[in-house]
Amino acid sequence: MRSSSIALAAALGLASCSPSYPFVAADLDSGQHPDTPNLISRNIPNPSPGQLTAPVVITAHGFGATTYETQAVAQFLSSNSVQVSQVLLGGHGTSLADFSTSNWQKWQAPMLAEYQALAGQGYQNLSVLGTSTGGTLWLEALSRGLLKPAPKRIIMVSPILEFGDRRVGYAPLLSWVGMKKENTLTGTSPGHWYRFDPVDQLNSLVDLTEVMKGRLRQVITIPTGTKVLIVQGDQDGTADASGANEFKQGMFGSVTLDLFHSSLHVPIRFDGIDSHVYTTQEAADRTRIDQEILAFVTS
Amino acid sequence: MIPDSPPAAVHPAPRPTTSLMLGAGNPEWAHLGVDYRSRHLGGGLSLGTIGLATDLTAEVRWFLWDRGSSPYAELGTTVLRSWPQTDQTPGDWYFLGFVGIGYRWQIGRVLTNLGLGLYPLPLPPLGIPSIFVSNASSLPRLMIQVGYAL
Repeated sequence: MRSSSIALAAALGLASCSPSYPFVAADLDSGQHPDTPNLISRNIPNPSPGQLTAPVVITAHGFGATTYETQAVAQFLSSNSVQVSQVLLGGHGTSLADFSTSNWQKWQAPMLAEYQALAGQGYQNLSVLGTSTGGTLWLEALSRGLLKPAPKRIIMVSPILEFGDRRVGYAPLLSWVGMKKENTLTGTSPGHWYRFDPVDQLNSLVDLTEVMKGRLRQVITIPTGTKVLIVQGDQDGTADASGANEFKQGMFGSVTLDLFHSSLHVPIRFDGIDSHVYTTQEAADRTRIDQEILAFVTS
Repeated sequence: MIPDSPPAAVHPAPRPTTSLMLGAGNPEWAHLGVDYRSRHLGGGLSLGTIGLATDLTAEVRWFLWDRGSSPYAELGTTVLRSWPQTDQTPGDWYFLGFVGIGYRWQIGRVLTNLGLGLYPLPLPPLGIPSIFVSNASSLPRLMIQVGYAL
């Protein structure tokens, strides 16, 4: 009797820890609309000498997103003779089932693979750009010496270190009482972001930020010849602006922080995400930031 | 003649008591611990979790009344440490201090503590705060415990 009670309690416990997610067919979560990376290493197997010396930017998107998040800046850079390789983070852009088994190291793996592939092909003018989690992941890789040779430029747009919504730190406790994190996807967002953020992946994101805080406390030395640009809205509700300051203070080397007045998270995305329509100021900010990034990677 | 009335009930002074406690609060979150009290002075030591971090809390209490149920003032400290999730997770320790007031009810062997206080204060070494420290210091000191006297 006692063993059956324990088994029942265990089963109830497991049930409460494994929430079922209601899929919407049009969502990325369903696995019916996978995203694909747009990789230079795959698209250009035999680069010309001119391509090997021209600027290349490898982009990485944020948590739960897809290459759509970096598509706007990729188009802008491409139209200005900068080659762009858009990485799809591991566990992303596939299905919620795939995402649910990933962690930040798996998210990062395709970034490292593309960087190493291009470096191995002989590209000499490599820069990296990351939005939100993508930015944090690039710096994490640099701090572990995984980007060799070091990139010429590192652009971090709204990099995550401090969460605007600090409830993410309570995710395990909240999940124990059955709470789920469901994103409200409207406008052009459905199909490009996961609707649900599983608690294990939120935990992994917290782990990534804690790992980086530990490194930044020790100070990350930026290699000679590498320059870092951090772009951050001061009212960003997702990546708190205090994180951008902590990034800057925790790096030794050439680091520029562009902190400007905006509530947008990743202010270089397409208009229409989550039904948001850019204000005149936000549109001007986006144009300015695009130009700033272009000048930064071509300088 | 009025018959002799029974003597008025007197709250017994608490003997030195050790109790097992279960509770929740800020900054020690869901926790298990031991509580010791001798007359006006008491204290506790508890081990808790926030889900991604472990915390160890020690506190001393001064009880206003020398009886089982009494208001008290407390001073304590919590040590937080993140759970190792990956081989990259730093094993950093974080310290918080707190002060508060509370009330203890004691009925027989059953104890209940209810406390509140100022926002817990991050203690040195300061620097880039862990999310757990930021969270704990953005809420006031709160605590509810039930316990059983051994």
